[in-house]
Amino acid sequence: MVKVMERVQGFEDSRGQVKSKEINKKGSRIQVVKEAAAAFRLCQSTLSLRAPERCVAIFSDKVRLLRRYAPRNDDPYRWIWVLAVFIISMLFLTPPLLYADSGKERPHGDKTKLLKGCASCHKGHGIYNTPMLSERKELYCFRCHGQTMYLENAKSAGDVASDVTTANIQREFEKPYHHQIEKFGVHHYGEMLPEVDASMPRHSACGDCHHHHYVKKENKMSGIRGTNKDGLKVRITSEYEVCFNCHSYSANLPADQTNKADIFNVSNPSFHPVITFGKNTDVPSLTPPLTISSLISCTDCHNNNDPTGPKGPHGSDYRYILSKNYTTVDSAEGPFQYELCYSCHRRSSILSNEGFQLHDLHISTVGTSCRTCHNPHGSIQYTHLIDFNRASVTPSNSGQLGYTDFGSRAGQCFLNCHGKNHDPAVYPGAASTYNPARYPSRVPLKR
Amino acid sequence: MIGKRILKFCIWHLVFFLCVLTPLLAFARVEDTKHNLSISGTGDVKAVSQTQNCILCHTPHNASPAQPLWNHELSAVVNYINYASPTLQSYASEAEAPPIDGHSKLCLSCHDGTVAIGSIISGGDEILMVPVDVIDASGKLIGGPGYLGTDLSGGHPISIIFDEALAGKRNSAEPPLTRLKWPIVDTDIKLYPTQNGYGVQCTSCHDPHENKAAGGWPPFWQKATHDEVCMVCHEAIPPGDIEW
Repeated sequence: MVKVMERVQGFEDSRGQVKSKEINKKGSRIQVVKEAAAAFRLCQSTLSLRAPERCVAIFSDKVRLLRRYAPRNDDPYRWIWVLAVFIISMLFLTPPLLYADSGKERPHGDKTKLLKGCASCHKGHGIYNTPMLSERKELYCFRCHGQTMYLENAKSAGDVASDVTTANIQREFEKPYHHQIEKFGVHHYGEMLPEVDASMPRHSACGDCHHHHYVKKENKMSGIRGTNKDGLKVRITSEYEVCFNCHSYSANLPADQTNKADIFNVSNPSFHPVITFGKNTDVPSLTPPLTISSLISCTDCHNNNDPTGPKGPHGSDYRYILSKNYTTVDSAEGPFQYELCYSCHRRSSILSNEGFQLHDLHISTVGTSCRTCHNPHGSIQYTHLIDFNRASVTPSNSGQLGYTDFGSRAGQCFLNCHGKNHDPAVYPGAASTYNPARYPSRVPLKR
Repeated sequence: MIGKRILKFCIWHLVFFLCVLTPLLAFARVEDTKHNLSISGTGDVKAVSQTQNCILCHTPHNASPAQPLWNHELSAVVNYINYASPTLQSYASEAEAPPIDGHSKLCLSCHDGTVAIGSIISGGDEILMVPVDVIDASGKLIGGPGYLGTDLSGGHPISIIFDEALAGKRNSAEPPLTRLKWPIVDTDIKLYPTQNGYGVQCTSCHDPHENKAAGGWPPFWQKATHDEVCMVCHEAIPPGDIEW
């Protein structure tokens, strides 16, 4: 007992000793702390019943002294302290670094591009119904993303750095087929997309697809919320979710448009692989690197017709804002006629009947469009995107209209088309019995 | 030991005088701004003979009840066209915008162009102004950079309450909007009384007595640069690696 008390006392009042004797003798701070802990336990076992708090006081005071006087250079756990200090200092340093670099990724937050920062766009008291802008909201973006002259004006006003280059998006909207940005003032407070008000006119604005502040060079839709395949608002993970804001469950869909979420529904018999991989595992016509497990996006087809111009479905010279020509009415076959389809489905493969053995007969000989049999988005009824275009196809003489898939490159059709009654027409095998002379097509034959 | 203390004391007082008192001594005076509307004014708009410059806005006695010491006739306009936007979180539509009140009401007593600039409450008859292009025959402001008119829809919303609730509402908006900061702690930019609370008024961004803006633009600005004012309440465009 006396020995214990001596030892504890020794720790307690030996500031000088700890510094000189204890530390030097024991060598390491950790060892001395262990020593203190041992003394504490010893102390506790003997004194605890009478004065446990005194043990604690002795111990903590001891450790405090040790911490102050112990040499650190031989502390085996020194690296932990170094690491902790490093991590804490990184935590303090990182946010400013991120912010300093932020502009690189978000051009509208980059003061080396927008020289006046906020004031490059928002300044003074703006014109009617704008957030301090000098031009109406629907046209303001074109101040930099429109005609070169406008950008030059913005540069000479000191709002934009002289080395900034932008694409002329305004020109895209002057093309015959474009998103309808010319309908002004339709956006309203608390607007919900997909639109819930059936009486709301169809409209779009730059801000529907691009966030004016958060847009990034490599992610033009950064900051925009999308609509997923189930009609729920989501953070965008795939491009189609932006398109679905207006082209899916909108209450104001025009009569000639369909809910694309329904057409691309993954439970459909067939669909182009936008939401998930396609169901057809036999697609010999695919252009490499496309495979049956490839995914495509809306803008693979709906895009600028000028491959050198700004990307995106702003506008196109082709109908449906398609990047390439796609003739939906029956006409003579040619590389240009179905240029869009042929860009992924090799023309040579299609016309040599690698897949469907009667492709050449239908497309080249009879002159039917791809659209006459296929719906490029998907089919809620049949496999192989079969969705007959009722403008060309009528029920068969027996009154039936339909397609049955018999599995690998086999099936049958009930329909009437170009004066030919398919009642049913079964493949494979029908090609040999077909005589083009008996069923002249309605369009001039190409070969 | 005592010498060290004295040294510390001296250093701290030196810092205090340099940082706090020197700017106060060097304060720009309203006389040097366009808001000096007396005969000694530096801008286009000034009085024909009135030599006191405070009197156009302030009086020590018999002031307007709108604000202590306020001496300018207030505008009778109540149906200003207010700012509205699909992303505005403060009020739901232009029609629901709160009425202009507080400091903004005082500013608009000249700047909406419905009351003659020289219409004061106490201290004599209407002050005659030198006829210039930007004021009409009756002394009302009709043009120039200071003329706002009654269409305020192109400007930042004013007389709106700015509180934690608004910041929270905006910061959780979908799709995400540029975020608001809270609380607002700044020596220049302040929230002023409005709608029985505190919020944004003209004076939150503009100091009617001086212009702190380097280079003189924006006018009567509370800080040296345009964006410094914005950034007191609005968060900067966030770093690129955060998806909102």
